[in-house]
Amino acid sequence: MLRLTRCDYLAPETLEEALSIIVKEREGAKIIAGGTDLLVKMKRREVHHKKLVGLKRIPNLDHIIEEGDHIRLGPLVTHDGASRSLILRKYVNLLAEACGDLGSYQIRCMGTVAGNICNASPSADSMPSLLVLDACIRILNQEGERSVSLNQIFVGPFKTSLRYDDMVTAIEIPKPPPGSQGVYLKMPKVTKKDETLVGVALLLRREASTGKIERVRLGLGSVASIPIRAKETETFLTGKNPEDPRTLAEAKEILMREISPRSRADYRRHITGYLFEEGLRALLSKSS
Amino acid sequence: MDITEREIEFRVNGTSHRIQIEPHRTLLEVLREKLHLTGTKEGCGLGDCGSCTVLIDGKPVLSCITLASEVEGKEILTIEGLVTGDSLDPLQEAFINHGAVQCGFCTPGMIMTAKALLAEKKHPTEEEIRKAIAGNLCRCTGYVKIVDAIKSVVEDKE
Repeated sequence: MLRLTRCDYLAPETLEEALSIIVKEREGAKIIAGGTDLLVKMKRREVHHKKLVGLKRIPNLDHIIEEGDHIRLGPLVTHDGASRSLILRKYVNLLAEACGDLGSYQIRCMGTVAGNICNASPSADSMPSLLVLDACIRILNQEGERSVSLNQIFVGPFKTSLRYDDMVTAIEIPKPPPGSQGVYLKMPKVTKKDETLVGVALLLRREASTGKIERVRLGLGSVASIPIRAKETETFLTGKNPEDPRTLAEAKEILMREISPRSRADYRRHITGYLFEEGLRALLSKSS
Repeated sequence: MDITEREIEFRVNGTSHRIQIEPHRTLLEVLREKLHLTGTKEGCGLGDCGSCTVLIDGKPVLSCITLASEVEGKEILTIEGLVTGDSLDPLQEAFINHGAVQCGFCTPGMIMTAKALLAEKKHPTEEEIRKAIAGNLCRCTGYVKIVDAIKSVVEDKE
């Protein structure tokens, strides 16, 4: 039997108690949410933590609520929970879709969206959607609580800007402007449950009278060392007619300059262009 | 490092258990080695193959990457819990009748995942069945008979 090496497990009953443990233990303690990445790394002996700090005994950390112009997800919301949320389906369906199509059924029921952020995989499936939605994360540490934009979190593959004592307490998503349409498309490496080869999230709002693009956000997974926004492509597309084939061709050229896939680079570039085009087509058919 | 055993209390197949465990033990280790419920299998041990699938509060989870310390107060259902008296669960019957079992190693996990799906969705489509069992690997059957078996249970309900 493949076993974990010995470690302790602590089950605080409040976030404050959890914080005081990780402050006291410094790098010796690690917060565990779903554990689908952490325990695998520990079993593979890639990492070791002396103490795991579980959050499951803290009440109500799996909430998804509307708060004015925001939607708030607690740190223990699973991908399965996110995919079924009527609030997410209503306002940010692309995120619900991404969460409902990630990994396997079991992984969706175990893994959390906050854990997916903290693990910082370049191919994490919920990130392109969260990036185009301008998501922020609430972070609690010894100095207090703060909000940080998701695009400031990732610094490299599996590396975040979070400190040892930073604890994610919520994910905040601004409701997109009315009339926005979003989509997340991905290509897995081999079979459906495999890691994502390329993931593309698009959020689009068109001017009602002209059909031109008023606001667009393009997020990409697995084509750079971290999940990214293609901001130059977004700027180029703003104000353009999305049905003009020349616009599309030029946008794809710009997009190719914004991505930097390492392995299987040519294939990933090809698939990125394809998924971008498919995503845009899907949104245009919805909005016209 | 001074690590003491923890006491956990949880229900397995309707029976309450209060046991002492070392904090780093997985649910799979506890089910097989402490409770001797060896129907739940270890395949990869790393959360990839689905052989160790059990239900926690109705949701399918991978017991090889679930800390037993985290199931405090939960309701666990394993393959052993599907039998009522002498009667097998309709899914178990269907797997037998459709020849959906060859070496049998993936079968408990496969059936538990299907059980979760059918509890959640009364009439899943074939595509939904295939998506649900995507995380349960079978190296013998080619999946066709497994999908047929699950479909037959759906049809019987109609």
